[in-house]
Amino acid sequence: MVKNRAKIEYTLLVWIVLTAIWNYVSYFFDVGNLSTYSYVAVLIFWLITVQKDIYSPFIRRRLLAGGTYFIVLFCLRYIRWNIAPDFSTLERYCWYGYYFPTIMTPLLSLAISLSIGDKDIKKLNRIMFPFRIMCLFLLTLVFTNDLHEAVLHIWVEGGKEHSSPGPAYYAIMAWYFLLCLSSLIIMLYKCSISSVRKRLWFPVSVGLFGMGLCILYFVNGASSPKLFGHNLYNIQEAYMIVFLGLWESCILIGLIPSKSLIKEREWIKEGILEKVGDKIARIRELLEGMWTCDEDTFRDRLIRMCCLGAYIKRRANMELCIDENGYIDTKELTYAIRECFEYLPMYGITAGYEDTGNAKIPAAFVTTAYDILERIVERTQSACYAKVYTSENTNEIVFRSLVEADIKEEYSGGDHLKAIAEDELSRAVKMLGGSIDVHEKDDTVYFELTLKYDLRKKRIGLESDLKGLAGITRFLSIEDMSLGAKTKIHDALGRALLIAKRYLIEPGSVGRDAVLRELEYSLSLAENVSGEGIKDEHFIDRCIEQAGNLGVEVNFEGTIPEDEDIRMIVDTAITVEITNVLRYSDEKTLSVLIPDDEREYTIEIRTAGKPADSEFVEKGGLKNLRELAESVGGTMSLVFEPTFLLTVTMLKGEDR
Amino acid sequence: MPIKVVVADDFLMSRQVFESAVKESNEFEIVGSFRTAEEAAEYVLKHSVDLVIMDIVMNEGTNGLSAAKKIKDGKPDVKMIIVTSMPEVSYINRARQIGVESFWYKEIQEQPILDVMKRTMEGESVYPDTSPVVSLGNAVSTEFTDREIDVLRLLVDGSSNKEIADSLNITERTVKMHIANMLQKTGFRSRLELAVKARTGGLVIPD
Repeated sequence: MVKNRAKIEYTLLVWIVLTAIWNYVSYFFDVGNLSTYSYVAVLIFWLITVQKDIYSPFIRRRLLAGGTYFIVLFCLRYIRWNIAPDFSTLERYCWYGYYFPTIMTPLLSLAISLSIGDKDIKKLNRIMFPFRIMCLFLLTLVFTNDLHEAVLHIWVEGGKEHSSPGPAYYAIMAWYFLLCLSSLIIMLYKCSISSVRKRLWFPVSVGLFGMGLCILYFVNGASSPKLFGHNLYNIQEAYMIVFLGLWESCILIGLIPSKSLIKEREWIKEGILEKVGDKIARIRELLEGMWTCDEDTFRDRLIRMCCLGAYIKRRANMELCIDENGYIDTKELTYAIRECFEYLPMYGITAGYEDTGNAKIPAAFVTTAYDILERIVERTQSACYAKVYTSENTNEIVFRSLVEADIKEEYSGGDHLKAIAEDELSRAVKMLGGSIDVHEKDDTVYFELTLKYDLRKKRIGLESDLKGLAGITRFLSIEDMSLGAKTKIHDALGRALLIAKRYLIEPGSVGRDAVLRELEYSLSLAENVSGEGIKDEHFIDRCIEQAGNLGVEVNFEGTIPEDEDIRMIVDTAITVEITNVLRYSDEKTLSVLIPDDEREYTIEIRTAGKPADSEFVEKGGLKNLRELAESVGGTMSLVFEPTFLLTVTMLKGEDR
Repeated sequence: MPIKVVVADDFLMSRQVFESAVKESNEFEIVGSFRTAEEAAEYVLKHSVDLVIMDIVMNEGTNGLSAAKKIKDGKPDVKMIIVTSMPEVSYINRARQIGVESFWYKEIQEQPILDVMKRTMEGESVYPDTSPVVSLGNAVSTEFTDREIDVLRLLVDGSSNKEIADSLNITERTVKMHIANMLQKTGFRSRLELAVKARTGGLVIPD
């Protein structure tokens, strides 16, 4: 539960319960009935918390609207029974006004439930359009009831006002129940596939309780159930509990993201630095003196920095790829191993890897395997090997790494390799129910991490273990700030590594100063993962310069976005495409176009070149870019022929 | 009536090369193009196909040689051409043992693939004269004896000296001698380095 939000929830609950008790007690004792004022005050309090706390503008506006409609409802009730003359037009129209929230709030609930985890506003508006038309029609029927009495037939007899429901009344009730039930079912489904599914029982209970009160009211002949002859509650309170209770409980469990939730996740930032902080510090140490050292020392240090940088980058990328259930593709481990091993031949180290099979497995296993590999690589003198394979027959995932027993001098003189099996990393594997085996045979040390895992099941109830083990992050359903922060590490370091590699492979192609400047810049970004956008107005110029250092020509046309988050996405898109051009394209040119548009930002990046050799799979940088774009309500599309075209579109301002 | 051809290769470019070659000739017609050997084998066993061009090493699923055996067991009349870019020394013999009609190295391309296809359909068995020569440190692959290659294969598979000795019915001492010889020829520092280089160079590829 979101702790900060829990306090608000308890306050609301206690407040509403006390008001309900007061309302009932006031029938027996002459204490004055302040329930209307109290409910209005509760709603105002709730609206203030929603305004301050709810992250998504789309959801926030709808919650505010719903809360406001209930305030109006209670005011109308007060006016009807306390101010409006009996049987007057004002009294009648106050009564009609009751139907406004009855018709509108289910529509709002439906929109909210559909928007959870889906940021395509245009699609949502298309889906909601027919419901809005129906809503308008029902409201028109209500407020023109005097003409046709399709909703209510009202007459006065014996000094009392009587009413009987018309056909439209039942239509409105059906509308209310169907839309509320649909919202509940959609919310239930989205909750069940999210990280908060274990807390699903809470909003379901609250929603069903509220709807139960409504059903009891109508089953009781459209009249409040009574206890000792007095109303237990009124229908307006039941409607309020359905709306307010359901959505507040969704905020509480984290299904609807709030700023309270994001504040609690600030530890993710610390978590990243905790895991890679020592590597960043080591890069900093290596950078000292590199501006003036001789070429051999420069190259040696650069290679070491590349190895460290690759680790940081892939480690951050793993965190981006962990899904909301704490699982990750084994392919991410392969990509990490591949990138790590890219630099080892520069050290004169022979490195090979293999992977077979592909499965989604607990992320803690993958991150632990990678951390162990990193320690092995540090100690390697001339050769190492890694293999990841899955076996559906034995239901096992195995990570195997081999290294020569004759390790680097600074690590020898002790069972340093075998000690890896005893430290906190291997404990992590054991806590998952896996095993780690280290043994030496024929001058080679074998590491084998094995996890028995039922590949048929997606959920094996390890989430609580994963929380402690993953250490950095778990359930990242909507984590805009964290996503931006981790993407920044990945992309900034990615660029720096590309430039460093170019220097090492093609001496003279890039200057030492350019390499060092890029490393400094990427390190400072990695150390300051606050999720802030790119503030630098000249960042496009820097992108172009950096691309030039890599041998890629960037042609830019258009308007630089003012929004810092969008600038970050532009920066990421260009970086991703530079990497792809270097890897896959014969022509090292990029054309970037950001046309001026009032409503939306569009980033178009074109490259010429041959299509990929193998079937295209979105991974790494492109996958990150898509998640970034979608996190701000945007879309990304790729076209491969006749030339490669990447298009990212995002709405401007509050429309996101 | 055109000859029905199925292509199986996990590389899109490779599949496109074969498809282009087939389009150049009126004799052949592509009836299936697959990313995995399993899918190709399944298709061939269920449909009428005359010729299969099958890569060996694929990223997913079984390798092409296993699929080739499956096809030959199920439909011995279907002609097969195994293609590969890997210089792995055992592939040619294994292909012959399975009964594959022809074998073609993608990198070397002794002759155009279309020629190999025509000759195969005419009943000829087209195999390269030699395997590609692979450099391994200071040595080349032709400098290794058959027994050394056998030892190397098991080494690449992760076997210990004792396990290699048991598999080949030789003594552990003999195994160590073979490894020492290979290290001397290649100039590599350790058995692990030898195994990794042999694997990454494609000289020995475990199944």
